[in-house]
Amino acid sequence: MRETDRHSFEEWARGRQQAMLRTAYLVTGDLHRAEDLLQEALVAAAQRWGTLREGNPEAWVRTVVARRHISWWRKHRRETLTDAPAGAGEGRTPAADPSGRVTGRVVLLDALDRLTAKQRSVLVLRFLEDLSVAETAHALGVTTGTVKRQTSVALERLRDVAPELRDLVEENR
Amino acid sequence: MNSNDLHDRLLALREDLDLPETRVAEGAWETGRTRQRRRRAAGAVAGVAAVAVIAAGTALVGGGTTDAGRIGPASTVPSTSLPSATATSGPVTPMGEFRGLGVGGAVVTRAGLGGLAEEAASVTLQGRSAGTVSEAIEVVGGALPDWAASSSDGVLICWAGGEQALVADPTQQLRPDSFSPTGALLATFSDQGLEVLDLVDGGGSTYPFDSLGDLADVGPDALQLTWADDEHLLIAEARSAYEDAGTPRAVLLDAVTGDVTATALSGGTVYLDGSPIVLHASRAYTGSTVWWSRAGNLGMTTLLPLAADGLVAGSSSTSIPGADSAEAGRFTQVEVWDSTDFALAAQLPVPNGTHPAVLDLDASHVLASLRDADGTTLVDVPFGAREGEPVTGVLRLDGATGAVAVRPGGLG
Repeated sequence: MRETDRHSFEEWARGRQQAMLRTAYLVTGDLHRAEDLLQEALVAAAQRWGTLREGNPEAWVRTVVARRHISWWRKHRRETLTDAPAGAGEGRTPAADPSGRVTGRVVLLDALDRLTAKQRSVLVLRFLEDLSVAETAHALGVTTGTVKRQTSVALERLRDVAPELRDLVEENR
Repeated sequence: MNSNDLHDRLLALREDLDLPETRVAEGAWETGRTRQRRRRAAGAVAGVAAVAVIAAGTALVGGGTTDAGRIGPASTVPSTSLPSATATSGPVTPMGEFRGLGVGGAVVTRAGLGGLAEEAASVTLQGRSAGTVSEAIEVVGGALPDWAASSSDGVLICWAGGEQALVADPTQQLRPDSFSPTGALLATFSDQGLEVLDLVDGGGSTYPFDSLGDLADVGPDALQLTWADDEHLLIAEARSAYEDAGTPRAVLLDAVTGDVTATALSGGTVYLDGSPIVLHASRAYTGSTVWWSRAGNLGMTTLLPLAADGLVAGSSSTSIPGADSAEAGRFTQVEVWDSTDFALAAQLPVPNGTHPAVLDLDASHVLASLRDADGTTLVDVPFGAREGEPVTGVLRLDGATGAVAVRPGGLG
């Protein structure tokens, strides 16, 4: 770590932390967990900033967050497979929703909460970050077959838990 | 609704999320730098221990005389430059070598972290019950543990102050190379896959067997772990010294990102985070470490910077199938590379029955390299009659012609 890199790292990290937190939250569904994972990923990014700054550090952080979340989940899944994950309600309450947009958002968030960590990560990376199956597999350290399978299962599950999303699920099968 | 619609909905969801303002970026740089310093400090201790171990007569690299089914890679010095430590004498517990200790009636083996065997012997297992699994260790003052042990309860790590943490279940056993060079990371196999624990921040990752690429179908009993540094773990098929089964399959794991890269150790070049890992024939080079695979063996050696700019050197030892004895069957050589592209600059076969003193002395004496007025590089490699004995001769390599001369006598 070169001290001369510090300014550029901190400028980037401060500027992007909120956006990265939102992505981490979509991956975890838990604000505190998202902050913890993001913080650790940023520390790791700082340690290799000299290399990362020339590439896509945000994508790198995203990968680390998703990976570590899945690893964490593997160890704790017996405790975390619940219908109402801790912190899941953060940031969801609409003040007013004349267009129904916020309600739709809550439905989607609630549906995501009922997915496993791996399923959530696959959906976020594939459909939010637009990664290919192969790129998602690489990012998560799983096979392409696993990604395809988890995508299918995740979409099925969304349909099961949120009939409002049936059109979405069926079109993406 | 198609995948674009799903993308749009997720995008809108993300943008609309009304999360509290975060400050997670605050202190990230400082924390990273502190951890790096800790690891370097721990690495310096490990490096001194490694030099001492080598001076005490430990094999330069493992593999030559290992038991069937297990390969013994070298102890490593993680920093890019050697600590300026002279060899010490006296009994030293070799890093990477298990040593049974009777602790509280439990079967305990010790893995080297530069800790003290006496301290380990006085530690008792504090009522641990079989099958206990710690979800994550507590970070004790941020300090690295002093030693660790495999017990009937699992892997136990201990700090100098007496704190203990059971960090793995009984199915996970320490291996000679479970610890990264600085001791900051611990790698073991569980039923689920490869477990990597960060002993600095208490975090951990599990890598299922099916994520290990070419090694997905190889069970943990047939896998060998070798840390290259505190971020990169080489995982390879374990092979017996005399097994003729071709080049071992291997993968390189980035413990930070979890990226797994196949490293067949058989040619080609891959890039990792911008740093080239150059594979030449049966060798792979990263930073200050060379990994080598030969005759079914796999090992690693720390590269030593030479006085001449851009050259690094290391030594390796290979067992020769069919030899009458382990000693006679060992072939040792010193190799010199260009550090920019790791092109092999020279190979210096050490005379049969002798031992290169390359790693016995501090960096200023290890290898002398000189540049003549015409730019020719001469490399001197001292060697002894036997391991641990004073230097009795010098190999001199003429960098221009490739000629190697043997000159009896010391370094003078």
